[in-house]
Formats: sequence, structure tokens, C-alpha cells
Amino acid sequence: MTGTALHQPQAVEHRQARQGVAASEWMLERRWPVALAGAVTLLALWQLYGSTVGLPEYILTPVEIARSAAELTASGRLVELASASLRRLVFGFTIGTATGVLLGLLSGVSRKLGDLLDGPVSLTYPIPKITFLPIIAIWLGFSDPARIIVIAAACFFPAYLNAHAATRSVDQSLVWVAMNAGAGKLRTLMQVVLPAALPRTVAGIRQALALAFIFMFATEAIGSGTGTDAGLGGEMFAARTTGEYEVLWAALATVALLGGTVDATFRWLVGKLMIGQELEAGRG
Amino acid sequence: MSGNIHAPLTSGTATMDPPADQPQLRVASLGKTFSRNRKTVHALQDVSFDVPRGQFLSILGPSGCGKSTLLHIIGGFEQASSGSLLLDGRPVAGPGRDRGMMFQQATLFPWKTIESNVAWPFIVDGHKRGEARERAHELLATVGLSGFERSYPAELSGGMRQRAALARTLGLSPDILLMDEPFGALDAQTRELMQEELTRIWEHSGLTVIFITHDIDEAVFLGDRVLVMGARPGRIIADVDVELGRPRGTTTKKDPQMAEYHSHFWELIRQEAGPQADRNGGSDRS
Ligand SMILES: Nc1ncnc2c1ncn2[C@@H]1O[C@H](COP(=O)(O)OP(=O)(O)OP(=O)(O)O)[C@@H](O)[C@H]1O
Ligand SMILES: [Mg+2]
Repeated sequence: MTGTALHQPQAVEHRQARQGVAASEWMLERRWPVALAGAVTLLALWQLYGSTVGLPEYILTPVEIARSAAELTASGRLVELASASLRRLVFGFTIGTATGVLLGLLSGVSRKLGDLLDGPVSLTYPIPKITFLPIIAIWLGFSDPARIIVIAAACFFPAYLNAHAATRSVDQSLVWVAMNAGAGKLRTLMQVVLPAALPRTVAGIRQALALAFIFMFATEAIGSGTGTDAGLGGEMFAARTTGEYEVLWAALATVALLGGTVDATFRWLVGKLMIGQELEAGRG
Repeated sequence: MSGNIHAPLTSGTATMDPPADQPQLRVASLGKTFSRNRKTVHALQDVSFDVPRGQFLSILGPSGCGKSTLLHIIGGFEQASSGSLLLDGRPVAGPGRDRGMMFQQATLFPWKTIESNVAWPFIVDGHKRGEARERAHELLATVGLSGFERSYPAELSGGMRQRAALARTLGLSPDILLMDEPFGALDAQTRELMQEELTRIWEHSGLTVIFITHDIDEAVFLGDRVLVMGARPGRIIADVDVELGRPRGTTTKKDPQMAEYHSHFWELIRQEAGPQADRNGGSDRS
């Protein structure tokens, strides 16, 4: 830099930029204690109400739920139920989301494939995916493969639709920048289009993750097996009929804890992976 | 004032050089129409001009007159509907590193640091990572962004982002710099500083610059020559040489000639806007 005149305004620009960072850091890093405080407050109020005013017998207080969960964990039952559920969830989510993201990205890039998939997708999208279960069950029974197929089908749509829209809406001028630099088609796709499409694609994956939990539960609730094969969902429905409310609540707490942990991990990973774009979102 | 074709600043030193009377860029009867849903927009009609090597050409025009479209065609990003575009006598086939484009909107890759953004074209060109980074650092120093290598675009102000985009474009080692209202979104002070800095960089580089703006003073302060465009259809309504001395700086802005140019261009644009509204009343909905 030769001009001294530029010194001052640069200091101004510098300050503006740092403010942007401060705001983003607050968004990215200081958020979870607040969220935790919110959850703790809610649980405390619940506990307080339960131990002073009292609750109906089918609603347990957090302390009672924790005690029941600890007992069931110690006996190994909760762990077995949870692993049966998680196995379905992981398979269903992975298959459905991977297929959805891959096809979504490809159909976003290739107009022909996009048009080809548009028909089947629009036709099947509005169908509540849980209705697939009885149909698949005719042929596979109420088995793990049947449940996994339904979970996968549910996960496919948000993954596909978001990945597709994300690639379609990549800023034209970013692609032109790549062309200006002389980048080939493949390099432009891998190094410009895909990263530009990532935030929205990841938002779709996160939606799929939430649906995976919902469908894990729903597919277990319908025609569930017995013993630990019932999974958390099946166990909760069974516990309702037998009146074992402490089991019901322990299973519910486990689902909440698992879902919350998985989602938090996912968001943390995303924050690491897309720091530049996260900063932009935090600033906007 | 009619089109004034300038003689190239460089005469042929090597035998491979194009003939001395050939302009670096020749735009001839360029036309561009966009059609969508049976509606047609004549973005450009019969646009012709020559740009000699090393010239700083400003293009001035109201919003929507086709300035970006023209620059996109010169850059090879969009195709003309009619007419021809010759670069050193050869037709333009597509984008190339010989024409470095700075777009109207911010186009840094938000997922890359400033350093990686500027280094990227070098990597595309086959340079090693370390070498690309070194070049990026040099370029960032020329635009006054040393110390911000590891920042992400979102952490920079608008002016700083445009500097980074300029650094990235300069890294292509272009012969022609195409700039589409690069300072349009900046505040007045930052804008003036960027103008002075661009002048300084241009004076040291020997680059040809085509600079689009809708700011009269900016067009005059920067340019050797100003093309004025009118809208619907987009066409050239004036071609004026700017006879202000160089180097230009803060004193140039107080030059009474600046004010004369200002009112001259203002008058041209006003005349264009007047009858324009009547003439196009029913013919061209867009
Ligand atoms: N891809 C497109 N499809 C249809 N019409 C377009 C397209 N791009 C530009 N146009 C039309 O062409 C005309 C010129 O657009 P252009 O963006 O070149 O104007 P401009 O002079 O750069 O305006 P501004 O100063 O606002 O940037 C406008 O009427 C615009 O609506
Ligand atoms: Mg424009």
C-alpha cells in the first residue's frame, strides 16, 4: 500500500468488520448455555409443580422419570430398546437421506434428470409416508426391513427437495467467476456449485433427521414386536396399556435425549464445516 | 461529439502483434433480446464501439439500459443475439482469463477465506498451493488487505470485499478488466477512495478497463472516454473523450472542467429520458 490516505478509512472498515465477527461469534458459540438454561427452567417448574400442587398419576415428575430411567438402564432393558430403535433409525435415515441428497444434487444440475424425477416426486410427495407401512407389511410383515423402508421414504423427500432447490438456486455469477478463471465443468461442480448448495442441502438433512425420529417412533408403534425388539416406540405403547407409566416416561425421555444430542451434534458439525456461510447467515 | 477512435498506445514490438490500426476490442452492431413468456426485451440494439489497448473506458447509463448485459457479452458469459465482438481481431467464443470480470454483486465464495478466494484462480491454473497462496498475499497487499487473509468474506465490510474481488480478478492477469458498477453499493467516502486506488492500480498496469457506472462524476473522474447509453432499446447515445490531465486525484475533482462534463452528461441523460417516455408508451412492455 503506497497511499497514506487509505490508512484511516481502513481502520474504520476494520472496526465494522470486527463487529460483524463479534455478532456471529455470539450466535455460534454463546447460544447453547441459553438453550440449556431454558430447558433447566422448564424442568424445574415442572418438578416444583409436581411436588407442591401435585400431578395426575400418569404424569411423572422429572426426578421420578430420571429414577425410572436409571433403573431401566441399570437392568439393561432401556439400552436394548434404544439400540433396536437406533438401528432402524440409522439405516432408514442413511439410506433415505443419501439417496435424496444424491438425486437432488444431480437433478438440480441436470435439467433432464430434474424433469424426469419431477413427475414421480410430485406424485408421491403428498402421500403420508406412514401409509406405506401396511402396504409394505403385506409383503415383508411388520419387520425391521419394512420399518427401515418407511423411515427411508420419509427422509428422502426433505433431503431430495432441499438439495434440488439448493443446486438450482446457486448464484449464476459464482458459476461465471469459475468460468472466468477457466475452471472446467467438473471442477466448477465440485468446488463451486456443491459448496454453494451446501447450507440448504444441510437444512434438508436436518429436517430428514427429525423425520427419522418421528417415523422410527411411528413405525414401532404400529404392529410392534415384543420384548426389546419393540424398540422405544413399541415399548411406550405397551406400557400405556399395562399402566407402567414410569417405563413410558423413561422411554420418552430417552427419545428426547437421543434426538436432542444428535441434533446438537449435527449443528455443531455444520458450524465447523460451513463457517464462512454460517458467519454470513449470522450477519444477515 | 462523435465516436473518436483512438490509436493504440502500443505499437507492435514483436512480429506476432496485431496490426497497429486494429483496436483491442471491436464491438460491432451488437444486439441482445431476451424472451420470456412471449414478452421480448430489447436489452441492446446496434451497439458499436472500439476500445484501443490501455484505454480506461467508462460506460454511463440509467438502470436497466443493458450495461450489465453488454459487459456479460464482452466477458463471454452471455451470447449476443446479433452483431459481432472481436478481441484482437478474433471473435469471442466464451469466457477467458484475458477478460477479468468484476460483477455488480459480491461474488466472493463465502465458504472460502479471503486468501483462498484470491488463490483459487491460481490453483485452477495449475499452480501449487503454496505458490498460489504467495501470489494471493501479494495481490491482497496491492489492494490494501494485508492482515485479512484468514478472514471470511462475511467478516469484511462491503468496500473490503470489493477490494478482495479486485485482487482475485487481477490474479487472472487479464488484458481487459471488466467492471460492473463495482463501487455501486459503497458509501460516498469509501467509493472515492476506491476510485483513487483503482486509478493508481490502472496507471501502473497498462490494463484496458471497461468500467460501468450510473454515476456521472465517477465516469468522468475515472475515464479517458465516456460512452453514454440510453434505455429501451439499450444503445449508445454519446461517445465523449475526457480531456482531464493525469494523474488524477483530489485536485481533479475540484477542476471546473469536471462540472462542465457533469452538466453536459446530465443534459444528455435528461434529453434521453424526456421523449423516451412518450416514444415507448405502448410498444415495449417489460
Ligand atoms: N436473463 C434475463 N432475462 C430477461 N431479461 C433480462 C435478463 N437480463 C437482463 N434482462 C433485461 O435486460 C434489460 C437490461 O438489463 P441489465 O441488467 O443489462 O441492465 P443494467 O443497465 O445493468 O441495469 P442496472 O444499472 O440496474 O444494473 C433489463 O430490462 C432487464 O430486465
Ligand atoms: Mg447492471
